[in-house]
Amino acid sequence: MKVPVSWLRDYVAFDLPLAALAEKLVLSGLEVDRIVTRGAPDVDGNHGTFRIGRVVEWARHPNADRLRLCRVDVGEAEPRQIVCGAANFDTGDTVVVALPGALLPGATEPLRQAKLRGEVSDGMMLSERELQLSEEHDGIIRLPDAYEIGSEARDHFALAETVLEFEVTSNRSDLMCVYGIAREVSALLDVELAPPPGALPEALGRRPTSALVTVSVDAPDRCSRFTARAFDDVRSGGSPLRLRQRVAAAGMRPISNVVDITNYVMLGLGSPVHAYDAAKIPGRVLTARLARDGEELTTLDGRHRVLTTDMLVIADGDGPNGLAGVMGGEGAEIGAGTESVVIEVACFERAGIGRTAAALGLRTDSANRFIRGVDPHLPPQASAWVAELLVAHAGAAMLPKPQDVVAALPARERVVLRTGFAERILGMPIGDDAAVRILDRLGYEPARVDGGVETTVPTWRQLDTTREIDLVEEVGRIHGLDALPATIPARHDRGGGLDRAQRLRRTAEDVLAGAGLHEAYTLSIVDGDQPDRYGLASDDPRRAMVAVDNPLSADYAFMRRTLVPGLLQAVRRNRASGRADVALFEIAHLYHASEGRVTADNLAHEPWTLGAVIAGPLGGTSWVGEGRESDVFSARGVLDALCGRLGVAVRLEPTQLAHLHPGRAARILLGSDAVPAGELGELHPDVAARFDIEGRVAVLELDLDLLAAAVPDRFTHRDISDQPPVRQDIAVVVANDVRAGDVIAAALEAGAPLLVNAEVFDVYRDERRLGPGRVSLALRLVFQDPERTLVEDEASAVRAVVVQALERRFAAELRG
Amino acid sequence: MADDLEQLLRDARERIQGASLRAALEEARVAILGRNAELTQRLRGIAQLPADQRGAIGKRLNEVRLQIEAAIAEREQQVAARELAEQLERDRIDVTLPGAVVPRGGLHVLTQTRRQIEDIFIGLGYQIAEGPEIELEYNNFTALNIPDGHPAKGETDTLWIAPGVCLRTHTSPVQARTLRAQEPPIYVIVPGRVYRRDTPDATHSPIFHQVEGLVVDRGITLADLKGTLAYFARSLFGADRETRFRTSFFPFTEPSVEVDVSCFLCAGDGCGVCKQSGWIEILGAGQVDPNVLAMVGLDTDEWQGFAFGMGIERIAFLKHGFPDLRLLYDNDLRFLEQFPA
Ligand SMILES: [Zn+2]
Repeated sequence: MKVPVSWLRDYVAFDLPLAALAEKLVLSGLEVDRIVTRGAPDVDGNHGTFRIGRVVEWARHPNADRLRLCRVDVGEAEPRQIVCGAANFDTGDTVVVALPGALLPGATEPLRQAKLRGEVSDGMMLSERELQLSEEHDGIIRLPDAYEIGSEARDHFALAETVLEFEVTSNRSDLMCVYGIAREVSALLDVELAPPPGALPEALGRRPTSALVTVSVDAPDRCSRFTARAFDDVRSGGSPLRLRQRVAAAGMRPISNVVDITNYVMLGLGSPVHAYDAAKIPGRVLTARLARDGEELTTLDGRHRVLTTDMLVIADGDGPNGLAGVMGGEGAEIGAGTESVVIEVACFERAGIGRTAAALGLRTDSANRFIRGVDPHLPPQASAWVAELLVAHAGAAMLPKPQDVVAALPARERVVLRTGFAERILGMPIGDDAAVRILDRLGYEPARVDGGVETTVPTWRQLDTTREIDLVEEVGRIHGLDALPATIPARHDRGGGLDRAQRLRRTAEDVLAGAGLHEAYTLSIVDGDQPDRYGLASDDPRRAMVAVDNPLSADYAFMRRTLVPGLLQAVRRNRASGRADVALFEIAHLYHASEGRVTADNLAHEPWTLGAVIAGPLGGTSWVGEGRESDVFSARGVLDALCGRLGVAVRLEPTQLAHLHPGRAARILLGSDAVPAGELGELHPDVAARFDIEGRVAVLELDLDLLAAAVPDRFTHRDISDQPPVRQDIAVVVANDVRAGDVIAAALEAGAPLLVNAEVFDVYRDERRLGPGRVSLALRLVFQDPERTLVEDEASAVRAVVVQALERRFAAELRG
Repeated sequence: MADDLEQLLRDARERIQGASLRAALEEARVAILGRNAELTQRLRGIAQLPADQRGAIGKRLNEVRLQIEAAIAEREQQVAARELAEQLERDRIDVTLPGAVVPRGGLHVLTQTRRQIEDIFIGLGYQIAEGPEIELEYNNFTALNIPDGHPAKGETDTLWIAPGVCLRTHTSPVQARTLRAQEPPIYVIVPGRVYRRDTPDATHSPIFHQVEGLVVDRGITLADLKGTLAYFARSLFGADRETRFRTSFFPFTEPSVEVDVSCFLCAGDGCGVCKQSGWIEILGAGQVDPNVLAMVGLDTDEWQGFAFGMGIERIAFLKHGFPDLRLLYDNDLRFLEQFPA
């Protein structure tokens, strides 16, 4: 919303500097985007150098066909000689002249007396664009004869106009006009507001309005009010300079007196107005009705439009004449030959206009106002103002008996504001007097009652202030939120902080980062090809993704079921930039729903999930040595670091997964209950190739909710034994399909309770010495009795039991 | 006899001093104090001496032996010190060379920012509430007083999953969930991922992150909101920051405000980040609309509250000044490593 300041001053007087006014408006809820000044700089008497002049005579420039040599009377003893390039004027025309010394808009140097092709030019006749009044530049300004020759131009119109550009929030339809903003200013500064513009002229016409048009409403739920006035003797032409100037400054294009007046009234009061050439209304009827299937219309912008049955039209005897509230039709357009005019000021239902405007891509100034909501009490006032201006500026004669088809207007609600309640919500003192004063300025017609103020909601605020709390905001924002103290609630009766799952999640983040992985954020909406790219088996449940109904594009159409492909994509990007070691993790939600189906009764399961990928030597290389190349044990190491940190036992079970290396993949089992909670392994080389990643890629994906559930509730203290442990090493040869994890478990079981730890410290394969398909596992056994010192012989006895057990279960042979 | 002994002592000392290696010193020890050494022989011979000489000679011989042992010990120390010094000299190396490989990871700048925000409110006694990203239309809109036909609900702004189910467009639906699940007093913040139907560009992303705050208690005022957010802004952006409220409009708060913090780059003088205004908008907030409280059956004369919401990306951008939102989701290590802590 662009508001010329001179226009604002028509309704409210203020001498606050504009920047200070803007700040008050901003804090009270009216965003000021920019303050822009157009026109001639108002410095050092510059505005006094622009005069009204009259062309006394003109002739062709002797040395230039396209120039005219003119003598122009500017109220001095002798007319001035001025060379002019325009051709739209004649002897006797009233014009605007800049005298030498004038600083024109946008100029850095003042105008000088100059010689143009050998002839002196002692001033300049100006176009609207040269004065930045509008974009009009087909020739110079020609004024009506009434202007006094030699008078200063600034007495007749503003040579410079400052425009406040506002961003109006969607709830404040009343601020979509100059008068509405003036009302805010009046409240904020506590100054008088002028009565709304528009004094109805006397009806003079020879015939009633119905001789030109009869209006009706066929769709009352889409049109709550339809008013019409008619005018004869309309002299179509340009509108007064001041009006053109304001329409242009407010961001619309000046067109002709009738059209400019309709726009001027809409900008001034907020009620859209439409003008018809009365001769182009077949059947002399205008009806607000829904379009019929297949009806068509050419709108004022020259576009041919096919209508749908949800669109409200204003129909004449032949069919749609215009799109109600959005844009008129070409058929009844005002033109040079227009003699009689019908003015429509109506109220249309908000959502319907919104749908029509969206469907046609037509966000006109009119549609924008209807979408926000137009005060249904406003049309008569706006219509009166249009009439006043048409009579004044187009010589029109207003016909008697205007028409007004109106449903019952909504009753004005009465709302009581308890001042104490306002103070309790705001946390600052307001007082009854201030509340009354503010609400009065805003039009609430306040009356004091016991404990507060009774108000009647103004017609222009019936959409957004209907409750006591709304009045609290009104009083608070006008009183000034800068006066609010800053307090912090004092509370004592509830604990705060992270809950257990949140704390563990942070720990997981820290462990992963500490292990050398960088945290990534990848997109949770993915494309439908992701499962194929990741190589998931055809029966992998992760193929059933929740779909987005209205995706922006196929790239963002499904909710992901795995974090790894996004991380692989990030590995690809980093490899492409020359980075060899890429280790990434992400902790985010996945979206599970059986068969990907989500309903309002059955939302998705969204477990917190950890995904990690490690490609290349973790930590990169140094002159000291290289980081370890990544493989399945890199993922295992990270998993052990995490589970170790959280005190969760973890076991791996070899498995086959289509997207992972067939010999290097495992399911992750957590805790003593061995809950399956994820998978790890190396990426299948085919999948790695699809992501352009060379070398082995370690992959880990784990359900963090299950991990959190496996973390013991409490870690209780155990006494530390000072008894020295006894360490003994053994090496056993087993078939190479025997799993080290099983051997360790069996050893610990057989050696309990004195065997407290067993670890594999070497793995050795040698067909010649061990035989084909055999592998040697070196185990370090740690024996300890918490109560007393063990001797070697006792440890050896237990070791023998362990070896026996391994021989029995795995056909193991003791080596050496 | 006595001169003889003095000579032996002098010779021994000379030999000890002459040994500069550990091995040579050991050789000298054997030669001077060993089984066949003269001193040893003489000590052994004391028993054959006449009884009246034994005492004096024996004493003298022992003195000489002790002096020699002391000389050897002293020389040993000297030799060890020199050998260590030589060893250390041989060890000399350019310590400015890079260190051994220790993998270095890190938290994403969004996680760091989220934790910072969380920790400030945890310090004020808040809890962290969470909710699903695939959310009921009811929680995302209706329960927040957002009417049907509101533009945000349209096909153009919201990603829909099924009838009545959408991807949450803000973290505010967790307000509704929390109000239903928990009796007041309520002091929570809600970090989380949210979705809009936006094409990715420098300033838009279909996916971004917010932190919502909700307080419901007796006697909560707009001034409490101001004090809380001023504390937050100072904790996050520095102790000198001022906070201001601008009246605004959100369907689920009334009064509603937008909150600006005085620019921390130009200290209010005006710069590119604050668009020359001296103020930077950081979040939207307001007193919880009585409709929202009434929908969960709370007596709005007894309970009041405030709510606020901010974008984590925006806060991170203000703190770190990266030019394009998409950098946050590209996961280029050259970007991620710029924000180590
Ligand atoms: Zn700044």
